[in-house]
This record gives sequence, structure tokens and C-alpha cells, in this order.
Amino acid sequence: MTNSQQLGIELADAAERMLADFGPAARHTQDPTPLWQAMAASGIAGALVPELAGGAGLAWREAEGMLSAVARAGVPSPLPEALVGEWLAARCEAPAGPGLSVACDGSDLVLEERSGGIVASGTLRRVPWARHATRLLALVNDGAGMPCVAVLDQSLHHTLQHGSNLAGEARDTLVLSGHRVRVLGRSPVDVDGLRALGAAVRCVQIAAAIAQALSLTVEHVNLRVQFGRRLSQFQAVQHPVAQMASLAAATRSAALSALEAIDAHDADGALEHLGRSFEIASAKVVCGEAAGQCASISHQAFGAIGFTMEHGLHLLTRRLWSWRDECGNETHWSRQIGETFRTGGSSALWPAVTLARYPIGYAKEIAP
Amino acid sequence: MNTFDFPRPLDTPGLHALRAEVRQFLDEQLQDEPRSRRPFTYLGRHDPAFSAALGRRGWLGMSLPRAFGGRDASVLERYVVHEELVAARAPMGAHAVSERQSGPLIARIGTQEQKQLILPRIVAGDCFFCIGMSEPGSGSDLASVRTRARRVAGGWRIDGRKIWTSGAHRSHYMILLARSGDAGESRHAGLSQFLVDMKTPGVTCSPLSNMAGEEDFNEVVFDDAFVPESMLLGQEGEGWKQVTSELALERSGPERFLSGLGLLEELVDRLQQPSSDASVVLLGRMLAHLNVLRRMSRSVASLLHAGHEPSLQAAVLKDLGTVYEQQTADLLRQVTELEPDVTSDDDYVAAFAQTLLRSPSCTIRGGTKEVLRSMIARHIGLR
Repeated sequence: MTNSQQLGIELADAAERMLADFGPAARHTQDPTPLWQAMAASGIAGALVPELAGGAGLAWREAEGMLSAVARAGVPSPLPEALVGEWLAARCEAPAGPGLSVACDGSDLVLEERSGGIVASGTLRRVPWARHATRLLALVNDGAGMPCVAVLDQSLHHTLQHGSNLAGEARDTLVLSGHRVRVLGRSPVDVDGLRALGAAVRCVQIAAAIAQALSLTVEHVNLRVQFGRRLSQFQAVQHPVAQMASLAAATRSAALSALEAIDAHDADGALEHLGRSFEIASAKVVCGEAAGQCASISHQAFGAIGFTMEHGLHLLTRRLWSWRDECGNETHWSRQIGETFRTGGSSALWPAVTLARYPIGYAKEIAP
Repeated sequence: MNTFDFPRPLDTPGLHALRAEVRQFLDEQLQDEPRSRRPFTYLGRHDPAFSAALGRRGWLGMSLPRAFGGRDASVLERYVVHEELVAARAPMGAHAVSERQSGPLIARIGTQEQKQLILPRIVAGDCFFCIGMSEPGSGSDLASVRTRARRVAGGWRIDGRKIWTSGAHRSHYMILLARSGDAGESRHAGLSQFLVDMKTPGVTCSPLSNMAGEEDFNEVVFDDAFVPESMLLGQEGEGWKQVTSELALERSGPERFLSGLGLLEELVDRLQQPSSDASVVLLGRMLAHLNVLRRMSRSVASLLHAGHEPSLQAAVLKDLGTVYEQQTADLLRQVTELEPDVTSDDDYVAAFAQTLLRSPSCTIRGGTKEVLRSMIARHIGLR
């Protein structure tokens, strides 16, 4: 095991301990602040930031443990967004934090020079945790290759329109008209690439929430007795739960391949193509479909109790129903795969599939 | 513990080079048969000449020991060759079973004499196998097999019947599962495996047509057929354990999710014309699942390579994979308004019809999805 793999495990353990310290109080709230303050203080948000820039220097694959720990707990936590935000800031040579940095799609923003500074106008839609963020990093296309990164600080919060996903996680909209921003250098990923990063992270969260829902479901059907038998003894119950276990395995496998794809693109100096990763697109399609199937199976197994506010199942299933639609739903990524693979004709299909992380035409582009 | 680990598949530049070599070989071997015209049979047509050519190339039983004609190649190399053959719909039906599971099983538990007799012939593409498991009264409930093996001087006498035995009419040997002793309380005791020469007097094989019009599976009757002692495979009474150890090989390969690939290829050609967004989205969705299944299947191969026996991961893969491939034709009909016709000149229409007609067998052969789900349910702790 390498040092950074070991560090990834230690950070996941640290996240588990913080979650345990907060206990149920962190789950049945929609306010991420207390838990997040503890996490931020631990420096965990810099896990993907290179060591030279003051981070832990983990690969994306090695961040799976901490992402999964938070998702399993069913708590409101901006850790996934913070990991992406701090990684992006570091890649743009901006200093880390303090507080919460969230990256977002700024393709609707227009930047102008005005009285010695740069101002932004346009709308940022459904930005995760925007009301809690200390800075937003918006990717803005200015017609010069990769997008630049415009930094918006907390002073813009008066422009916020609150929104939330089904789990009550903040998804806010900002309407900017000539607000002053600071512009960093070029982003290593374009807007599609940022969506792919988010999709990969959502896949990990979905896989972890499914695994946790499976665990609760198995426990429940092994205890609950009806018609004189445990539910687990009915084949009508066993088989859907077994299907859920298979889907849990598939989503985890897919999520890991999505994280590995980010690392592979990075290692190949190919992050600018990340938005076209077949691995990430595939993973989000499969995880998105499984999210709905597994939410449905676990609710059916729990019956009425799982439909109550008091029971904890909805903390997982509301998130599954939200995360599948965020960062591109199944239709979005399926369309992208379909459009990419149709171009080569039938004889190119299988060779393109076996190229794995690179879609058609891509391997040539990056060949040395 | 209610999860299944599918570790990252092992990958090396050597595997990519091998894949390219196999593709070139297949292009040459199959040049007279355009891809779109290759039949859609499970594991491909019976073609001993193709099997022999593959054997000459060193790609049959390549992971078998060198001492018996193999190349001691890794499970992963063997996987690449196998996957390319399946994807190309190469005529691999003759050797598919012997190459996939009979050879490896004999190499693992066979006697020196059995290995010397059979393995070099499997490697040469000159010895084909079938698997005698299901019976008229024992389908999914394999432990209830009633075919009897009676001990006699110098060997065993076999009486009973096997059914749904793929390729039996073209095989040199069957690996037969028969009851050689009392079942015991577990029902799994008293079963043994035998290597039965299909030319043995008293063995009669009758092909049965499947609903797609292919003669693939058979009924095989044993009437006082003699099997010499030397052809008992493995240990007497250990048949159940031996059979289940084969399952990871039988259930985890690319043939469990790639049978719809030919139809997807035809869809891609159809999408060269202006097409609906729904059909492009569906193509992408099917490829997404294919990609994830491929990773899981390659992961199982990597586990086998590392010496594990991933029969549960194989069950998970087969359940997900066969349900996926079974849906292919059903889903595609929603985006292309066509009437299925196996005789059509339109490659897409013919592929659609053939894929649909074959689809019921996906989730039945090699372990029904219900049997797999019961296995998985036990593993995740449903009691």
C-alpha cells in the first residue's frame, strides 16, 4: 500500500469519527454548518490538493473512502463539492480556503472590464451549497481555449435565490449583473469536464448510499416477522433484495472506474478531455438507473415505516433521487455516449468500447 | 458482509498487443463472412476447422500447463482472446465448452492419465466437450439428479438421461454429473463426475431444435453404459463441490452480456441516417451498461488470475449481464419501428429478429436468474 493510499484510509476514518461524534443530530437537520465546520477545521477538504500546495496529495481513487463515509451517513455535507473546489483552486494556483469553495458552471456568465476591474453578469443555476460557500469558482468561457475561473466571494450572497434538492441540500441560483469578480488562470477542465468530475463524485455517493440502504434493508427483513415467518424467508422478498445487492456491486465498480478515469486523464495530461470520458459517462448512467431501482426496492421491503419522517431510510432515498439528476442524468450521459459512438459506424464500435477510458478519436488526439 | 468486491481489473500493454493480434487473425479467418452476416448463435457455430486454426495459433487452452500442450498463459490473456472471439461472433461453438471449463477443470482435478489423454487434444482444437448436468426431472434443482453410476468390476455402469445438453451431438466427451452414492442430509453428497466418451455403447444422443431454429441442445440417454474406473473425474462423492468450482468459469465470461453486441452494431449503422434522439440515447444507454459489465467481468477474470474462486461475483455478473442482454431487442424495438423478420435482407431487421428469438435462453442457461438470486440472497445474510 502506498503512503497516499494509507492516508486516504486515515482520512476516511477521521471522517467516520467526526460523523459518529455528531451522531443522529447531524442527520436530521438540513443545516450542514456545524458538521462542516468540524470537517473544514480538520483540513480534509484539501485531500486532493498537492502536498506542495499544502494538501494531502491524494489521487481521486483514494478519496473514495471519505466520500463514501459521508454519503453512507445520510447527512448534509458539502465535502464532495469542497474536494472538487479546492482541487480546482489549487490547479489554478489559487490559495486554499478558508471556508467552503464550490466550483460551478459559469458558461452563462459574461465578463467585462470595468473601471480597472472585471465584472460578471449572468446566472449561475442550482449551485450546490452556494449560501454556505465562502467562494464560488465559476468556469467561464471567454473564447480563448479552456475556460477561465472567475472567483466570486461571499459579498454576492444577497443575489441568492434559495433552492434545494429533495434531501434539503442547498442548490441555489445567483443572478449577477456587473458584480466584481477576481479572475484566476485557465481551468484544467472545461465545463463538460467539471460536470464529469461532479458526476464521478455523485457516482461514489450513490454507490455508498445504495450500500447503506442495502445494509438497513437486510437487517430489517431479517428481523421483521409477518405470517409467522421472517420477511427474509419469503422468496418474493429475497430476490429483489438480492438484485439490490447486485446493483450495489455494479454501482461501486462503476464509481471506482469513474474515479480511476480522472486519475488516468490527469496522469496522461488529458484533463481537458475529461468531459468525454466513456468511463464517467457510463458510470453515471448505471448509477443513476440503479439509484431509482434500489430506492424502490428498499422502500418496498420496509413497508409503511420506511415512509415515515421519523425513520432514517428517506435520508438515503431522497439523496438517491436527487443525486441521479445532478451533474447530468442518465439521458444526458447516454446521449453523449450515443453521439460519440455512432460516428464511427459499426466496424468501429467494438474497438472503441475496448479502448475503455477513451472514446472514439480520442486516443489519437493524446498519442505522443 | 453484504457486499461484493469487484477489484480493479488488471491491465498490461501486453494484453492490448494480444488483442490486436487476435483481431488481425479474425479478420483473415473470417474475411469471407461480413460481420453483419455472421449468425447470432450462443458462442457461435460449430466449425472444427476454425477451432483447429485457433489451436495452431496457440490460442486454445492457452492457460493450460505447458506439459500438456498449453502455454501457461494467464487467465487474463485467455480472457482477451475469448472476448474477441465472442465479440466477433466467430464460429467457436465446437471448442467453447472444452476451452472455457472442461480443460481447466481436468487440469485442476484430473489424473495424470486423463490430462495426458485429453488436454493436448483440447489445445489442438481436436476434442470437444459437453456438460451433462440438467435432467428431465432436474433443471435448476441440480442436486436432485437421478442418473445413476453403479460400481462394477473395472469401472461404473451409467443409467439415466440428461437434457438441454448443448453441443452433445458434436462432442467427443461429456463431463457427466451422476449419483454414485447416497445423497445424505445435505443432498449434495454422493454425486460424482465422469468423463464419458460419447461413442460409448449405450449412450444415445438426440438433438432437440430450439425455438430459434438451431439444433444446439440435446437429450442424451445412458442405458447401462460402461465408464472405466480411470475416467472418474476428481473424487468419488465430491461431484457437487467440483461442479460449483466450475461455475465461476461458466458464469463470468463476456458471452454472458455480449450477445446483443451484433444488434447494437447494426443500430450504429442505422444511425448513420438521420435518426431520433431517443435512438441515440438508447444506444448510449446500452453501451454504458456494456462498459460497466465488461469491467466487472474483467474484474472476475483478475480474481481468477489471483487464485480466488469468485463464484458469487460470477453469479452477480451473470444475473446483471443476462438480464441486460435479454432486454436489448425489447428496448430497441421502441426506437425503431420495424417488424422482426429473420429472412430480411435488411441486416438490422434480421439481427433484431434473431436476437429476440434467442433472448429467452439468456437468463436460463448456465443457472437461471432465480437460482443466482437465491445464491446471492444467502450470501448477503437473508435467513
